[in-house]
Amino acid sequence: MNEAEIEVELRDSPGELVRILEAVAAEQGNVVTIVHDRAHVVRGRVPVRIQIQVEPGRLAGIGKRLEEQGITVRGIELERDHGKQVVIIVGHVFRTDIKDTMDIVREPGTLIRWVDSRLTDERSVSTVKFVLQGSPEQLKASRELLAQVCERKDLLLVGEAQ
Amino acid sequence: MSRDVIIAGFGTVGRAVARAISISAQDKVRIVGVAKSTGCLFDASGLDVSDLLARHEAGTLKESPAWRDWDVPHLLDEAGASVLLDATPTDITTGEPGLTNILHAIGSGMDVVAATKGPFVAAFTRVMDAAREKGVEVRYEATVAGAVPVFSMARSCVRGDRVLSVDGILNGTSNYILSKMEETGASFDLILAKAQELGYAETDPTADVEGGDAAAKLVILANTFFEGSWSYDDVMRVGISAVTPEALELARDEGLTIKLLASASPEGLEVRPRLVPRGSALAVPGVLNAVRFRMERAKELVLIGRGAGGDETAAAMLNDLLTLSERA
Repeated sequence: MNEAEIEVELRDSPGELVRILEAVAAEQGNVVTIVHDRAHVVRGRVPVRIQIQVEPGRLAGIGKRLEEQGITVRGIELERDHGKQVVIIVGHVFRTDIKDTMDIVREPGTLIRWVDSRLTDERSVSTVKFVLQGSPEQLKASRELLAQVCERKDLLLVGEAQ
Repeated sequence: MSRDVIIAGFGTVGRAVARAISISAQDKVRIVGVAKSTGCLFDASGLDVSDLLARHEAGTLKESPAWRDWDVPHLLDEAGASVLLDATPTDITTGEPGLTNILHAIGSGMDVVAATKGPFVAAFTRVMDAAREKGVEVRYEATVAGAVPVFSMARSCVRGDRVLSVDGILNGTSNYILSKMEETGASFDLILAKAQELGYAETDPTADVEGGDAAAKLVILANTFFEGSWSYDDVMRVGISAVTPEALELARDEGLTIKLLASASPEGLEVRPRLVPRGSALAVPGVLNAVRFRMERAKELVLIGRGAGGDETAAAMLNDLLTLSERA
């Protein structure tokens, strides 16, 4: 199974998302994450980005099924060289605007696949984990941007050893 | 051929190296002088190590007939020995008192085996240039990662190859703290207090937990393997005091752990907490050290072992000493 990303436009009405999931399931795909971005509805259409695991040979089948159902497919791509990278940030991560931090990480096109956080009562700081996904170049750029942001916001950044 | 040596510094390491020589190298090495900060012991026909150790225990070194009120340079001038073993305490800013001892020994045509880091952090080029000029050898295996034969391996076992980068766990105390935090889920402050109680951490733990000790060792590695005069200020340093047990928990969910990693390449030097895969060579537990070389041809080589302790440091010094003796 390889990872792939599908980007589609859906009508902003109930039951739309299910149609995509059915197309993925019909090709034995496994949904990893869905980003349903209702903040960017354009002409009543919502951009949706879906991360899936699928046999490479069945990816085209998903695209065909979606189009047959009249869904606009913006992009469908097998992520051959996309790697995963974990970063952990400690400090006042929320108080220093976590959304801003995440937006900066995403600037090079890197996807934040997973966010997990814990509060440390004793020092009233938070510990936040981002699981990033992107090409080696995107991950490198995100790492550098994140290092700058953490320095500016006085956060401890713990990245993976190279 | 037997060589006459002088041991400067008679703390845990100095005593361990004296003991190691008396047990394993008696036929090759004779200890003629031992220097403390308050004076020294000298006997041109050789000091009796068991007597020295017994007197140290009893606090009667000064009552020995061999006791002299000389400083190290004076002892070096009088003794006519051919090797200085320096196990004095380290000051990484001034390099003293080791720097004065070592430069004096080199000036007198003696070889040097050092366990003290200071001279190689503060004045690496000066020491090495002086040694080259005098045609003597300076070895300092014990300064980095204790018993782990970092320099011996890289110099003798992969000759003709080139070190591209070196990284690793160079401080046992911080590694012990991170390991215990992961194991128990307790906070940094709590584990540090416990480590201090058990004697694993100093009363002032700054050098260990804020990366200063690892940075000093990294400077020695960089000065040895990469061109240029690297200094302590060249090291980008972030310690472990801000690491939370939650960070270790979140790392574990991804199959990772957090280590205070010291990394050196010709591009720069850095000590900071890093995520490393659990079960990988660098994920050593407790007080262990690990050093990973990336070589041009041999690719990755990793050495793991004990980075501190009297016997462990003495093992490195003894090997350096015997390597000198083989050449002589």
